[in-house]
Amino acid sequence: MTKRGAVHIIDAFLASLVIATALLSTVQAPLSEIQPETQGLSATGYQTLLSLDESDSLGQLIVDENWGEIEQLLNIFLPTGLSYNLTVIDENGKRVNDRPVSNGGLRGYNIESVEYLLVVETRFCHLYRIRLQVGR
Amino acid sequence: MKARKGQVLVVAALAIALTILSVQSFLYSLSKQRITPQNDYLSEYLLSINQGSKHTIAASLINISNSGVSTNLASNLARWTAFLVDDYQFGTPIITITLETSSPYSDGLRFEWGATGTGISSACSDFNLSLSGRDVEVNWDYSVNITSKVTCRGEYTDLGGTSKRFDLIVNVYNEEEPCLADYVILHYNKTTTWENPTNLMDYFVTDYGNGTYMYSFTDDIDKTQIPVRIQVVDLRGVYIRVEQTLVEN
Repeated sequence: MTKRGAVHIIDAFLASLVIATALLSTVQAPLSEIQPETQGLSATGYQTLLSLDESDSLGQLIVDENWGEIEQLLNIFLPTGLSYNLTVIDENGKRVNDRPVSNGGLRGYNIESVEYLLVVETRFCHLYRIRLQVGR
Repeated sequence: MKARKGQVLVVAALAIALTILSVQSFLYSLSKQRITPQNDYLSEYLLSINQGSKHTIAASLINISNSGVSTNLASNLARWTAFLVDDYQFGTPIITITLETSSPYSDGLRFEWGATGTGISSACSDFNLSLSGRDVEVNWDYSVNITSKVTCRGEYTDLGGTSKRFDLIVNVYNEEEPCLADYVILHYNKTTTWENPTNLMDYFVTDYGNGTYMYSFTDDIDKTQIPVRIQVVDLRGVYIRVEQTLVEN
Protein backbone atom coordinates (compact mmCIF):
# COMPACT_ATOMS: atom_id res chain seq x y z
CA MET A 1 0.00 0.00 0.00
CA THR A 2 2.79 2.41 0.87
CA LYS A 3 4.51 1.77 -2.45
CA ARG A 4 1.28 2.34 -4.35
CA GLY A 5 0.77 5.64 -2.50
CA ALA A 6 4.25 6.78 -3.39
CA VAL A 7 3.68 5.92 -7.03
CA HIS A 8 0.47 7.98 -7.00
CA ILE A 9 2.35 10.94 -5.57
CA ILE A 10 4.97 10.69 -8.29
CA ASP A 11 2.18 10.40 -10.85
CA ALA A 12 0.53 13.50 -9.49
CA PHE A 13 3.86 15.34 -9.44
CA LEU A 14 4.59 14.49 -13.04
CA ALA A 15 1.06 15.38 -14.08
CA SER A 16 1.24 18.78 -12.40
CA LEU A 17 4.65 19.39 -13.93
CA VAL A 18 3.26 18.67 -17.39
CA ILE A 19 0.31 21.01 -16.77
CA ALA A 20 2.51 23.78 -15.41
CA THR A 21 4.95 23.52 -18.30
CA ALA A 22 2.11 23.56 -20.79
CA LEU A 23 0.60 26.65 -19.14
CA LEU A 24 3.89 28.52 -19.10
CA SER A 25 4.73 27.65 -22.68
CA THR A 26 1.40 29.06 -23.90
CA VAL A 27 2.02 32.42 -22.24
CA GLN A 28 4.25 34.64 -24.41
CA ALA A 29 5.12 37.14 -21.73
CA PRO A 30 7.68 39.83 -22.59
CA LEU A 31 11.01 39.61 -20.89
CA SER A 32 11.29 43.36 -20.56
CA GLU A 33 8.95 46.03 -19.36
CA ILE A 34 8.88 49.73 -19.25
CA GLN A 35 7.76 50.92 -15.89
CA PRO A 36 4.87 53.25 -16.63
CA GLU A 37 4.77 54.65 -13.13
CA THR A 38 8.26 56.11 -13.18
CA GLN A 39 8.34 56.99 -16.88
CA GLY A 40 7.98 60.71 -17.37
CA LEU A 41 8.31 61.96 -13.80
CA SER A 42 11.71 63.51 -14.51
CA ALA A 43 10.58 64.69 -17.93
CA THR A 44 7.43 66.24 -16.49
CA GLY A 45 9.42 68.09 -13.86
CA TYR A 46 12.03 69.30 -16.32
CA GLN A 47 9.42 70.40 -18.90
CA THR A 48 7.64 72.38 -16.20
CA LEU A 49 10.81 74.21 -15.22
CA LEU A 50 11.64 74.87 -18.89
CA SER A 51 8.16 76.31 -19.49
CA LEU A 52 8.45 78.59 -16.48
CA ASP A 53 11.92 79.68 -17.62
CA GLU A 54 10.73 80.40 -21.18
CA SER A 55 7.99 82.65 -19.83
CA ASP A 56 10.70 84.58 -17.93
CA SER A 57 8.65 84.30 -14.75
CA LEU A 58 10.73 81.85 -12.73
CA GLY A 59 13.99 83.82 -12.62
CA GLN A 60 12.45 87.07 -11.42
CA LEU A 61 10.37 85.25 -8.80
CA ILE A 62 13.53 83.62 -7.42
CA VAL A 63 15.38 86.96 -7.38
CA ASP A 64 12.39 88.45 -5.54
CA GLU A 65 12.31 85.37 -3.25
CA ASN A 66 8.60 85.06 -3.95
CA TRP A 67 8.31 81.39 -2.94
CA GLY A 68 4.52 81.45 -2.55
CA GLU A 69 4.07 82.52 -6.18
CA ILE A 70 6.46 79.79 -7.34
CA GLU A 71 4.41 77.21 -5.42
CA GLN A 72 1.24 78.46 -7.07
CA LEU A 73 2.81 78.21 -10.52
CA LEU A 74 4.07 74.67 -9.87
CA ASN A 75 0.64 73.66 -8.56
CA ILE A 76 -0.81 74.84 -11.89
CA PHE A 77 1.88 73.51 -14.23
CA LEU A 78 2.53 70.09 -12.65
CA PRO A 79 -0.12 67.38 -13.19
CA THR A 80 -2.46 66.75 -10.30
CA GLY A 81 -1.52 63.89 -8.05
CA LEU A 82 2.19 64.72 -8.04
CA SER A 83 3.98 65.90 -4.96
CA TYR A 84 7.07 68.06 -5.29
CA ASN A 85 9.82 69.77 -3.39
CA LEU A 86 11.88 72.55 -4.94
CA THR A 87 15.27 73.75 -3.76
CA VAL A 88 17.10 76.76 -5.18
CA ILE A 89 20.89 76.80 -4.93
CA ASP A 90 22.98 79.79 -5.95
CA GLU A 91 26.21 79.89 -7.96
CA ASN A 92 28.28 79.31 -4.82
CA GLY A 93 26.31 76.24 -3.76
CA LYS A 94 24.36 78.01 -1.03
CA ARG A 95 20.69 77.23 -0.56
CA VAL A 96 18.56 80.28 -1.39
CA ASN A 97 15.01 79.38 -0.34
CA ASP A 98 14.71 79.84 3.41
CA ARG A 99 11.54 77.77 3.56
CA PRO A 100 10.31 74.61 1.83
CA VAL A 101 8.78 75.15 -1.59
CA SER A 102 6.39 72.22 -1.98
CA ASN A 103 2.75 71.17 -1.99
CA GLY A 104 2.73 69.70 1.49
CA GLY A 105 5.86 67.59 1.42
CA LEU A 106 7.31 65.00 -0.88
CA ARG A 107 5.42 61.71 -0.90
CA GLY A 108 4.71 58.81 -3.20
CA TYR A 109 5.97 55.39 -4.17
CA ASN A 110 8.20 56.74 -6.95
CA ILE A 111 10.34 59.81 -6.45
CA GLU A 112 12.62 61.32 -9.08
CA SER A 113 14.82 64.38 -9.03
CA VAL A 114 15.96 66.75 -11.78
CA GLU A 115 18.29 69.73 -11.76
CA TYR A 116 17.72 72.79 -13.91
CA LEU A 117 20.34 75.46 -14.51
CA LEU A 118 18.77 78.88 -14.61
CA VAL A 119 20.17 82.22 -15.76
CA VAL A 120 18.15 85.29 -14.83
CA GLU A 121 17.94 88.21 -17.22
CA THR A 122 19.00 90.91 -14.82
CA ARG A 123 22.00 93.20 -15.01
CA PHE A 124 23.72 90.97 -12.42
CA CYS A 125 23.18 87.78 -14.45
CA HIS A 126 22.22 85.58 -11.49
CA LEU A 127 22.91 81.84 -11.90
CA TYR A 128 20.86 79.27 -9.99
CA ARG A 129 20.71 75.51 -9.79
CA ILE A 130 17.10 74.42 -9.25
CA ARG A 131 16.55 70.96 -7.81
CA LEU A 132 13.03 69.68 -8.30
CA GLN A 133 12.00 66.41 -6.67
CA VAL A 134 8.75 64.95 -7.95
CA GLY A 135 6.87 62.07 -6.35
CA ARG A 136 3.86 60.00 -7.28
CA MET B 1 -9.53 4.65 4.23
CA LYS B 2 -9.05 4.47 0.43
CA ALA B 3 -11.16 7.63 -0.08
CA ARG B 4 -8.96 9.52 2.41
CA LYS B 5 -5.80 8.37 0.62
CA GLY B 6 -7.26 9.69 -2.63
CA GLN B 7 -7.95 13.09 -1.02
CA VAL B 8 -4.41 13.25 0.33
CA LEU B 9 -3.07 12.49 -3.12
CA VAL B 10 -5.13 15.25 -4.71
CA VAL B 11 -4.04 17.79 -2.08
CA ALA B 12 -0.42 16.71 -2.48
CA ALA B 13 -0.65 17.05 -6.24
CA LEU B 14 -2.13 20.54 -5.91
CA ALA B 15 0.52 21.58 -3.44
CA ILE B 16 3.29 20.37 -5.72
CA ALA B 17 1.71 22.10 -8.71
CA LEU B 18 1.41 25.36 -6.78
CA THR B 19 5.02 25.10 -5.62
CA ILE B 20 6.23 24.58 -9.15
CA LEU B 21 4.15 27.49 -10.45
CA SER B 22 5.42 29.74 -7.67
CA VAL B 23 9.02 28.88 -8.44
CA GLN B 24 8.45 29.42 -12.15
CA SER B 25 6.75 32.75 -11.50
CA PHE B 26 9.55 33.86 -9.19
CA LEU B 27 12.22 32.90 -11.73
CA TYR B 28 10.30 34.73 -14.44
CA SER B 29 10.06 37.92 -12.39
CA LEU B 30 13.80 37.76 -11.75
CA SER B 31 14.53 37.36 -15.44
CA LYS B 32 12.62 40.48 -16.42
CA GLN B 33 14.66 43.49 -17.50
CA ARG B 34 13.38 46.69 -16.06
CA ILE B 35 13.85 49.50 -18.50
CA THR B 36 13.47 52.93 -17.00
CA PRO B 37 13.98 55.61 -19.62
CA GLN B 38 17.02 57.72 -18.81
CA ASN B 39 17.06 60.11 -21.75
CA ASP B 40 13.40 61.01 -21.88
CA TYR B 41 14.08 64.72 -21.36
CA LEU B 42 17.29 65.10 -23.33
CA SER B 43 15.68 67.46 -25.86
CA GLU B 44 14.34 69.65 -23.04
CA TYR B 45 17.79 69.61 -21.43
CA LEU B 46 19.38 70.88 -24.67
CA LEU B 47 16.67 73.53 -25.03
CA SER B 48 17.34 74.68 -21.47
CA ILE B 49 21.04 75.14 -22.27
CA ASN B 50 20.08 77.18 -25.33
CA GLN B 51 17.71 79.16 -23.13
CA GLY B 52 20.45 79.74 -20.55
CA SER B 53 22.78 81.01 -23.29
CA LYS B 54 20.11 83.47 -24.45
CA HIS B 55 19.53 84.70 -20.91
CA THR B 56 23.26 85.14 -20.35
CA ILE B 57 23.65 87.21 -23.52
CA ALA B 58 20.56 89.28 -22.69
CA ALA B 59 21.65 89.85 -19.07
CA SER B 60 25.07 90.98 -20.30
CA LEU B 61 23.48 93.37 -22.81
CA ILE B 62 21.25 94.80 -20.08
CA ASN B 63 24.32 95.40 -17.94
CA ILE B 64 26.59 96.84 -20.64
CA SER B 65 23.95 99.08 -22.23
CA ASN B 66 23.30 100.56 -18.78
CA SER B 67 26.90 101.75 -18.30
CA GLY B 68 28.41 98.34 -17.55
CA VAL B 69 31.86 97.44 -18.82
CA SER B 70 32.00 95.66 -22.17
CA THR B 71 34.07 92.77 -20.77
CA ASN B 72 31.00 91.66 -18.78
CA LEU B 73 29.76 89.76 -21.83
CA ALA B 74 32.81 87.50 -21.92
CA SER B 75 32.96 87.15 -18.14
CA ASN B 76 29.26 86.27 -17.82
CA LEU B 77 29.60 83.67 -20.58
CA ALA B 78 32.63 82.23 -18.80
CA ARG B 79 30.57 81.98 -15.58
CA TRP B 80 27.76 80.24 -17.49
CA THR B 81 30.20 77.78 -19.06
CA ALA B 82 31.80 76.95 -15.72
CA PHE B 83 28.37 76.49 -14.15
CA LEU B 84 27.31 74.18 -16.96
CA VAL B 85 30.41 71.98 -16.91
CA ASP B 86 29.54 70.81 -13.38
CA ASP B 87 26.24 69.39 -14.61
CA TYR B 88 26.42 65.69 -15.45
CA GLN B 89 22.80 64.78 -16.09
CA PHE B 90 23.51 63.30 -19.53
CA GLY B 91 27.28 63.27 -19.57
CA THR B 92 29.92 65.95 -19.56
CA PRO B 93 28.75 69.09 -21.37
CA ILE B 94 31.47 71.12 -23.05
CA ILE B 95 30.46 74.47 -24.45
CA THR B 96 32.66 76.55 -26.72
CA ILE B 97 31.86 80.22 -27.18
CA THR B 98 32.89 82.44 -30.09
CA LEU B 99 31.93 86.08 -29.74
CA GLU B 100 30.83 87.71 -32.98
CA THR B 101 33.61 89.91 -34.34
CA SER B 102 32.56 90.57 -37.92
CA SER B 103 31.42 94.15 -38.59
CA PRO B 104 29.35 95.81 -37.19
CA TYR B 105 30.10 93.70 -34.08
CA SER B 106 33.15 94.01 -31.93
CA ASP B 107 33.78 91.48 -29.15
CA GLY B 108 30.19 90.31 -29.57
CA LEU B 109 28.71 93.77 -29.05
CA ARG B 110 27.10 96.37 -31.29
CA PHE B 111 25.94 99.79 -30.15
CA GLU B 112 24.68 102.26 -32.72
CA TRP B 113 23.35 105.27 -30.88
CA GLY B 114 24.04 107.91 -33.52
CA ALA B 115 21.91 110.47 -35.32
CA THR B 116 20.64 108.16 -38.02
CA GLY B 117 17.11 107.76 -36.70
CA THR B 118 17.81 104.15 -35.71
CA GLY B 119 19.37 103.09 -32.43
CA ILE B 120 20.63 99.56 -31.84
CA SER B 121 21.94 97.72 -28.78
CA SER B 122 22.92 94.19 -29.65
CA ALA B 123 25.02 91.23 -28.50
CA CYS B 124 25.78 88.14 -30.52
CA SER B 125 27.72 84.93 -30.01
CA ASP B 126 28.12 81.48 -31.54
CA PHE B 127 28.02 78.38 -29.36
CA ASN B 128 29.08 74.80 -29.80
CA LEU B 129 27.67 72.34 -27.31
CA SER B 130 29.26 68.95 -27.09
CA LEU B 131 27.68 66.35 -24.84
CA SER B 132 29.16 62.95 -24.41
CA GLY B 133 27.78 60.34 -22.05
CA ARG B 134 26.11 56.98 -21.73
CA ASP B 135 23.90 56.49 -24.80
CA VAL B 136 24.18 60.21 -25.56
CA GLU B 137 26.33 61.86 -28.20
CA VAL B 138 25.46 65.45 -29.06
CA ASN B 139 27.32 68.06 -31.08
CA TRP B 140 25.22 71.16 -31.59
CA ASP B 141 26.11 74.53 -33.11
CA TYR B 142 23.79 77.40 -32.40
CA SER B 143 23.90 81.16 -32.47
CA VAL B 144 22.31 83.69 -30.11
CA ASN B 145 21.58 87.25 -31.19
CA ILE B 146 19.84 89.61 -28.77
CA THR B 147 19.00 92.92 -30.42
CA SER B 148 16.98 95.84 -29.12
CA LYS B 149 16.22 98.49 -31.71
CA VAL B 150 14.49 101.87 -31.68
CA THR B 151 13.50 103.88 -34.71
CA CYS B 152 12.42 107.52 -34.72
CA ARG B 153 10.66 109.37 -37.52
CA GLY B 154 9.38 112.92 -37.29
CA GLU B 155 9.02 116.40 -38.61
CA TYR B 156 7.73 119.83 -37.60
CA THR B 157 5.11 122.20 -38.92
CA ASP B 158 5.88 125.92 -39.02
CA LEU B 159 3.07 127.68 -37.18
CA GLY B 160 4.36 131.18 -37.99
CA GLY B 161 7.18 133.21 -36.49
CA THR B 162 9.42 130.86 -34.54
CA SER B 163 6.57 128.64 -33.32
CA LYS B 164 6.82 125.04 -34.45
CA ARG B 165 4.69 121.96 -33.83
CA PHE B 166 6.65 118.71 -33.61
CA ASP B 167 5.30 115.24 -34.37
CA LEU B 168 7.38 112.13 -34.07
CA ILE B 169 6.81 108.40 -33.93
CA VAL B 170 9.03 106.03 -31.96
CA ASN B 171 9.04 102.27 -32.57
CA VAL B 172 10.67 99.70 -30.28
CA TYR B 173 11.75 96.23 -31.41
CA ASN B 174 13.23 93.11 -29.82
CA GLU B 175 14.80 90.78 -32.38
CA GLU B 176 12.95 92.72 -35.12
CA GLU B 177 9.59 92.06 -33.44
CA PRO B 178 7.63 95.01 -31.99
CA CYS B 179 7.87 95.14 -28.22
CA LEU B 180 6.93 97.43 -25.37
CA ALA B 181 9.18 99.94 -23.69
CA ASP B 182 9.61 100.18 -19.95
CA TYR B 183 10.07 103.90 -20.40
CA VAL B 184 10.90 106.45 -23.10
CA ILE B 185 12.60 109.78 -22.47
CA LEU B 186 12.43 112.45 -25.15
CA HIS B 187 14.64 115.53 -25.41
CA TYR B 188 14.99 118.19 -28.09
CA ASN B 189 17.74 120.67 -28.72
CA LYS B 190 16.24 124.15 -28.46
CA THR B 191 19.39 126.25 -28.35
CA THR B 192 22.54 124.48 -27.25
CA THR B 193 21.16 122.35 -24.43
CA TRP B 194 18.80 119.37 -24.41
CA GLU B 195 15.30 120.30 -23.21
CA ASN B 196 12.59 118.07 -21.80
CA PRO B 197 9.26 118.75 -23.54
CA THR B 198 7.09 117.21 -20.79
CA ASN B 199 6.76 120.63 -19.17
CA LEU B 200 5.26 122.19 -22.28
CA MET B 201 1.53 122.95 -22.20
CA ASP B 202 0.52 120.91 -25.24
CA TYR B 203 2.95 118.01 -24.83
CA PHE B 204 1.08 114.86 -25.71
CA VAL B 205 2.07 111.22 -25.95
CA THR B 206 0.06 108.33 -27.38
CA ASP B 207 0.99 104.77 -26.45
CA TYR B 208 -0.50 102.41 -29.04
CA GLY B 209 0.30 99.38 -26.89
CA ASN B 210 2.22 97.62 -29.64
CA GLY B 211 5.64 99.22 -29.32
CA THR B 212 4.62 102.40 -31.17
CA TYR B 213 4.66 105.73 -29.34
CA MET B 214 3.65 109.06 -30.84
CA TYR B 215 4.78 112.40 -29.41
CA SER B 216 3.68 115.90 -30.24
CA PHE B 217 4.51 119.29 -28.74
CA THR B 218 4.86 122.95 -29.72
CA ASP B 219 7.64 125.39 -28.89
CA ASP B 220 9.29 128.56 -30.14
CA ILE B 221 12.60 127.66 -31.71
CA ASP B 222 14.62 129.88 -33.95
CA LYS B 223 16.25 127.11 -35.98
CA THR B 224 15.34 125.17 -39.08
CA GLN B 225 16.91 121.86 -38.07
CA ILE B 226 16.01 120.60 -34.62
CA PRO B 227 17.80 117.56 -33.17
CA VAL B 228 15.77 115.24 -30.93
CA ARG B 229 17.13 112.49 -28.70
CA ILE B 230 15.13 109.45 -27.60
CA GLN B 231 16.31 107.24 -24.75
CA VAL B 232 14.48 103.94 -24.33
CA VAL B 233 14.70 101.09 -21.88
CA ASP B 234 12.75 98.14 -23.20
CA LEU B 235 10.81 95.72 -21.01
CA ARG B 236 13.75 93.38 -20.56
CA GLY B 237 15.92 96.30 -19.41
CA VAL B 238 18.16 97.03 -22.41
CA TYR B 239 19.01 100.70 -22.91
CA ILE B 240 18.92 102.16 -26.45
CA ARG B 241 19.47 105.72 -27.59
CA VAL B 242 18.64 107.29 -30.91
CA GLU B 243 18.97 110.79 -32.33
CA GLN B 244 17.25 112.37 -35.28
CA THR B 245 17.22 115.83 -36.81
CA LEU B 246 13.72 117.09 -37.51
CA VAL B 247 13.08 119.32 -40.47
CA GLU B 248 9.96 121.09 -41.73
CA ASN B 249 7.40 118.87 -43.47
